[in-house]
Amino acid sequence: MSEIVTMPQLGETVTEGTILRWLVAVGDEVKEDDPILEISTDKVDTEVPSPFSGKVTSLLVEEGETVEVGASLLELNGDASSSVVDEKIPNDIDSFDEPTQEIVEEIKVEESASSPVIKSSNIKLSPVVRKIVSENNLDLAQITGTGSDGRITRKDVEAYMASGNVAKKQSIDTAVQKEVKQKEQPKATTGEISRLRRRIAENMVMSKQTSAHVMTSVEVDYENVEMLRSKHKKSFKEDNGFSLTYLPFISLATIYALREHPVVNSSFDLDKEIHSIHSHINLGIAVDLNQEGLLVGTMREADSFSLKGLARKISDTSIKLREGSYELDDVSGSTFTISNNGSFNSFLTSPIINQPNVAILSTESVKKRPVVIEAQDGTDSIAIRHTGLLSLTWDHRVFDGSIALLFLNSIKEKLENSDWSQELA
Amino acid sequence: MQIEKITRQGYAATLSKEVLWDIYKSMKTQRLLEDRLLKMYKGGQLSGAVYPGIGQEACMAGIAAGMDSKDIFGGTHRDLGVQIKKGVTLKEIALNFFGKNDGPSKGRDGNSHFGVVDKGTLMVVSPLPDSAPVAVGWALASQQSGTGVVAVANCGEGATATGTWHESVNMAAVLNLPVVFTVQNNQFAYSSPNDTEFGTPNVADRAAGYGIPARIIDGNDIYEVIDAIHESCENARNGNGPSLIELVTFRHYGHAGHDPAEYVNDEVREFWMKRDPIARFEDALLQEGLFTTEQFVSLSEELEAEIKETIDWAKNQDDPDPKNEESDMFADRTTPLIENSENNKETMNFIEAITNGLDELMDNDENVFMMGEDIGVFEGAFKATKGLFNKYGPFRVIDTSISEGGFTGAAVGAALAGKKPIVELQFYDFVYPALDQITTEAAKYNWKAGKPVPMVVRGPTGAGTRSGPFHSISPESLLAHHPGIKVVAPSNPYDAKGLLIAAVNDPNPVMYLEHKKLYRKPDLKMEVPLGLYEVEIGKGKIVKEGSDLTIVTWSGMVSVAEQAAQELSKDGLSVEIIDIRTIVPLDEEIILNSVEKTSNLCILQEDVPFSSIASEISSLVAEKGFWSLDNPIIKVTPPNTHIPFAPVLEDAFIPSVEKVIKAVKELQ
Ligand SMILES: Cc1ncc(C[n+]2csc(CCOP(=O)(O)OP(=O)(O)O)c2C)c(N)n1
Ligand SMILES: [Mg+2]
Repeated sequence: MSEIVTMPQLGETVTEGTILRWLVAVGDEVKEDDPILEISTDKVDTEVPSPFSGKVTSLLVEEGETVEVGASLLELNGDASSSVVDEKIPNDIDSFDEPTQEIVEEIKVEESASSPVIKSSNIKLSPVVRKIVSENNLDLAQITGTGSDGRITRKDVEAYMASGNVAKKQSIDTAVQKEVKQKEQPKATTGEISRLRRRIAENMVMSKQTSAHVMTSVEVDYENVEMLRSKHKKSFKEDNGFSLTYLPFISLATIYALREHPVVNSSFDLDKEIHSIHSHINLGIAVDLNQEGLLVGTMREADSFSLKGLARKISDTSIKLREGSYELDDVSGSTFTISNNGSFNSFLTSPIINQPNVAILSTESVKKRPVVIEAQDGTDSIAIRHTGLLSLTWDHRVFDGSIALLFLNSIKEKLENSDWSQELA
Repeated sequence: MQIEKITRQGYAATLSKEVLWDIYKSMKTQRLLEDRLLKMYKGGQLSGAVYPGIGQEACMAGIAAGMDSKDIFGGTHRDLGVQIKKGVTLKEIALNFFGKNDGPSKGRDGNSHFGVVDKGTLMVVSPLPDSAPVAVGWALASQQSGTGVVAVANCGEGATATGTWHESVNMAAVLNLPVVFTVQNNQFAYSSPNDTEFGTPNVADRAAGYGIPARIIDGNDIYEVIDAIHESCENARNGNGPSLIELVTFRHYGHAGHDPAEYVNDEVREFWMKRDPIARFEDALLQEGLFTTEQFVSLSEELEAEIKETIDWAKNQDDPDPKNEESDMFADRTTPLIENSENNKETMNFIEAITNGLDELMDNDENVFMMGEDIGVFEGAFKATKGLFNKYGPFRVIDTSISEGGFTGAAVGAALAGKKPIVELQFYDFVYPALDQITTEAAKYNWKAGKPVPMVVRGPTGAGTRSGPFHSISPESLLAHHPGIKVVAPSNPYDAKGLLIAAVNDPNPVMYLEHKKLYRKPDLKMEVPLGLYEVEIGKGKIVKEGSDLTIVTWSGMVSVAEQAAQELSKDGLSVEIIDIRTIVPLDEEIILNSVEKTSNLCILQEDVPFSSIASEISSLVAEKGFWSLDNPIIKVTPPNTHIPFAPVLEDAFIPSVEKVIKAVKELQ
């Protein structure tokens, strides 16, 4: 029985990936979990382990090719004389905490419903859906299709948009947009500076002139969060209409850490000689307005929220800001700010403090990396873990490095060790 | 060489010296001009073609000279000489030969294929002899209005073998019209001699078959031609009906510039060269002592210089601008749309609304008249002309012979002469023999000769009456494929009357399609305003609003769409129905707007699918409405076959409510 390995979805918003290198050749015997190829997506570069054991009978894409998630990559145990793909799918896949295997589940639907020809581009979108999605920068992954074969119809998109839980896609362009972008020659233009841009510019310079910026970072092992997240990913999305990202976890951990280190949640006015430690945590989240500016949305009294509540609040806030339907209260009064640079695949960022805050946290991208794990018996082993940096820019006028690191490590500790399963149950 | 003598007689004997000089001058002009053009053609300085009538100058000038100046001439490629004598200038001719913008056909047709209607020459087209029915129609208008205009319908002997010629002569004979049919028998049709073209010894022998008088004359004797034409024209003018004149003559050159005419043997050529019409005319003029050889020579020199100068001038005139390629397809309507102002209404079915519209149109404007088979005393196969013959008489409700090409062409001529003809086809299936006239003449007149042709061709269309393959077609795509004609297809009594009036008032040829299943459909009865009102041609209508799917349809299929929409609404599907009402020009906007709203399109038509209006609309939406679509476009049409008779077959052929529902549901 032949098996088809397809392009895994290696991140929430990943829709395609590039084949960097084949690690196997036609004729090779591979065992389940053997690395078979390296792929690169806009989130990660990674080796893909084989979900099945068997003999490689054909490589269906070439190195350097970029294919959509779900596209067929490799055939195992195929009948060499025919290219017809066995429609049967493996039934021995039951664990679902590995992303690659989750994809295999999706193949089930795909394979039984469509012809081999369609497999290479599994997502059929009508012109009008493409148009609405691209005009509104929607994330297709968020929309449930009710058309034939689960196709997303215009009604589905409209229902989704009417639901209010609209998550906008950030870095991924639709194929159509990409094509347009490639074709259009950028033109030299001169124009006025928007009011928003002016405000950002003034605030940034003012902040740099006000605070003594220092950046400090720590490395966080997200495996704990990742396990939980992938376990609840599906049900969470179904229940809430938006995806569970790392940000609510980091925000919650930050809120705990701010409680432990109230000086980080303060304002400092040297001219008036006033240092105010705030009683509530009004968490600011920097929201990118689709590359046309940046606003900090404020979640007032964020310390009163549960993980789920926080997740929803973050989602709602960013929609509000992107749609421009916010009030002054929504963008003022923050006491501490998080800038979610990981969503744009950062490695390390040194953000500018949002005045009158005294520190700003930057989340960086989470990626699988080899990590040395020490077992209880003292033996070392190398594991693949989801890790990422957290960096903090803080005002050296207000406190010193020790507090910055105690604060950062407090966040790290909570992310690595908290048991949030109850929160998500 | 010994020259055959000619002498003046009859009407020719009465002509003054000046008139004779004018005739001579026009013959000379034709000869020298065509000679020049032939040389240019052979020297590669002229594109297209030249069809020299050299050798036939006496026919050409004599025909024109025998006619009254107000009389109309319908001729062919060979008849440049007639046009010259009718007053068409060297400049006009040269501009046309060089395809110039200011030429009579604006560069849309070349060489001698043009007419100058205002000077009494009908547009020359290639298909032979297509101006004959048009000339007959002009004569019909003359008979109706008593203008005393005679039409001369001329062609070569070869063209008399066509159905078009036969229908023209037959119609003129039946209706006793003021037409003179002239046939220049120049011995060859392209390369074919007489015995390959007709079975009688002479063309003129055919006249007996139509019951009209005929004579055979020497086409190279200018005096005989003038006299014969004059006599026949005056007879026709006096109400004595049509006649036929065979002018026996000879073409000195080949059919066209490229043809060396090797099929003409030396004996024949020698016989005819002795009878060169210009030499004979000069000889007679000298004999009478009217003019001198010096005068002939100096005229030749003057004309040669003028021809050369005119050609050089024409070459440097403006070419047509390709930007205007699409202009003049239709004449613009200048009068405002007639709004419905009457409060009086009457409940009518579809055919009653049409009859009422016809009646009010004829009552309102005496230029409106009808032609068709059995439409008079019998009141039409479907009784669409009920009561009209009694009210308007045989000159305005004209029973025609079975000559669809003939009477449709006659409508073109009558329209050019100022009438507003309405042609009834007994069944639209019989439009095929009329298509030549519709597309060659009606559709091209405004484009190629700058003269609008306001005429309507109406008749029953559509299947569903167990009438089989030849009484059931939906001809919309067949017609719409031809630029220059409008096509309307109403679906209810109100639109039927309003569109009919708009069609008659439109300055262009309008094909008006009446689905015969609608004629007496009881549930289609509605209140129709009395008095004139119009529904704008080119505007569709939203029959029913909806949000999920657009059905675009027209004519007999509108009610099918309505029933399907009702069924589909039970499944929560909200269908919008667009009745386009006009096929050409198509209301693109109403379709695109609706698809933008619903994102789904179904086109429902009774016409067969291949290369059809459904394909056209589908292509329109794919091109201009692509980003609105949420599903592939559905076309619900019959299979691509002929319309069968057997009830089970016909029922399966016609798109049904069930078919529409099934097609729509398959998409969902
Ligand atoms: C309906 C039609 N068929 C064929 C032709 C091609 N054609 C052009 S002229 C010609 C010969 C016409 O002969 P005749 O009617 O004797 O006129 P002549 O050219 O001799 O003046 C033919 C066959 C045409 N123009 N129209
Ligand atoms: Mg001939």
